[in-house]
Amino acid sequence: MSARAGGALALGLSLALLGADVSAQEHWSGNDRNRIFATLPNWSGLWESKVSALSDNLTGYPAGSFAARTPSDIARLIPLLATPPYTPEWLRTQRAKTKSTSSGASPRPGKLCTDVSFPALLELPLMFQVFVTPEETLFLYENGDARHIYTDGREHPKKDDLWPTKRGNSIGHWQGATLVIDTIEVNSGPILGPGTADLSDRAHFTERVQMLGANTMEDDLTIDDPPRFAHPWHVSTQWTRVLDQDRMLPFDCQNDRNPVVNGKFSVAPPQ
Amino acid sequence: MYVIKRVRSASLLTVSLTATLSLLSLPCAAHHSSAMFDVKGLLKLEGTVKLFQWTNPHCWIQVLVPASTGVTEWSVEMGAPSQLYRNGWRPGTLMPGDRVTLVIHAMKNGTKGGQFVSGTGPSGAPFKSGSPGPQT
Repeated sequence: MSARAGGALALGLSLALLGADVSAQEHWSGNDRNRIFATLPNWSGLWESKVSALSDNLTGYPAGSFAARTPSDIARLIPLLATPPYTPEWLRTQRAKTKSTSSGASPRPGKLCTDVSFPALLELPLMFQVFVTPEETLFLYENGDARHIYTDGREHPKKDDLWPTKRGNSIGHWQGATLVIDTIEVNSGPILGPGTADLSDRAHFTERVQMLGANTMEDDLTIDDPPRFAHPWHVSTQWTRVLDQDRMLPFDCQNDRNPVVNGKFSVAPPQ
Repeated sequence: MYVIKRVRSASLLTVSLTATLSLLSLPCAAHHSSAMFDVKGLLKLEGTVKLFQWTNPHCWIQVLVPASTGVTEWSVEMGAPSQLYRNGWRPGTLMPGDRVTLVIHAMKNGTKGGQFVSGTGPSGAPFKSGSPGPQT
């Protein structure tokens, strides 16, 4: 059974147990909706990635990052910076491409204020909130980015109605208190900048999100990308509750002073 | 007075900078690699604040530093406002004319700029560093 079919079945079963009328994108009546709502976990509050929680507030860098010496040190800090299980064919292609590419890319202005792609959103130091409703779970990030996870039984749109985007298209279902998310049609390319895990636009993402305790949430992510990976790549990341803030701060990103010059970030003078 | 001092070399082992390692510090305020900074060296700047930018994706301190060749202006990059806020910083924490001492990882390419490491404010007290740490 596919994850999608399993999700629909799970939702159907849970709704049938509640005596609700089951159909995709159902607009439940007040009592049915309230009863479904009552079965869902409460993930309210402010959250941030563990990397963010471990970062020094004044420098913005995670403690220990400059002392990391090996790829495994790095992956312990930032799991999405681990090396994925590329196929030998893909590695050969990349090596050949690197040899044939001349060094010295042309300068380009900074792009740090653009929206952030999935799955980078999972680990970058942005505070976020999670709104759980019967119809969808919404991840809302401090920079305004959002992930809509539809949980009312609707399918992904038809192929003609889909195109790759930064956060792709997500549907989900509940297995007890675990939210299982299915995401497709994410823009291809490196997850966290040049040199990091490079995905195709056929990558298929499955996440299992659950609370590990009162103040910790875990997202077990599996990326299946046959054009690039020899087998599915599993990455587990954690989020921690923000206890020293009672609200999101305003986020206005207009002062990107890190243009890329000759392929490297640089510092520009103030405007 | 020559107040730009190379403080010390950090005792980091030499590493082979693979593409991944060069991106090690990517989560700086959600944003970029630290490959442009000399993270093995520390530079001390003593000067006065010209401008404090409370902005995303980074806060910046523009500091005027007297040197043998005249006054030079340095751009010092910090974390994002939401990060500084959690250490008690506000847009008015530094004002033009404030005397500060800043320790930075300087730019490798010679540009007068770098990444904030530590410092002391107008009162002479060190800026409080720290992280919220994972909640349990």
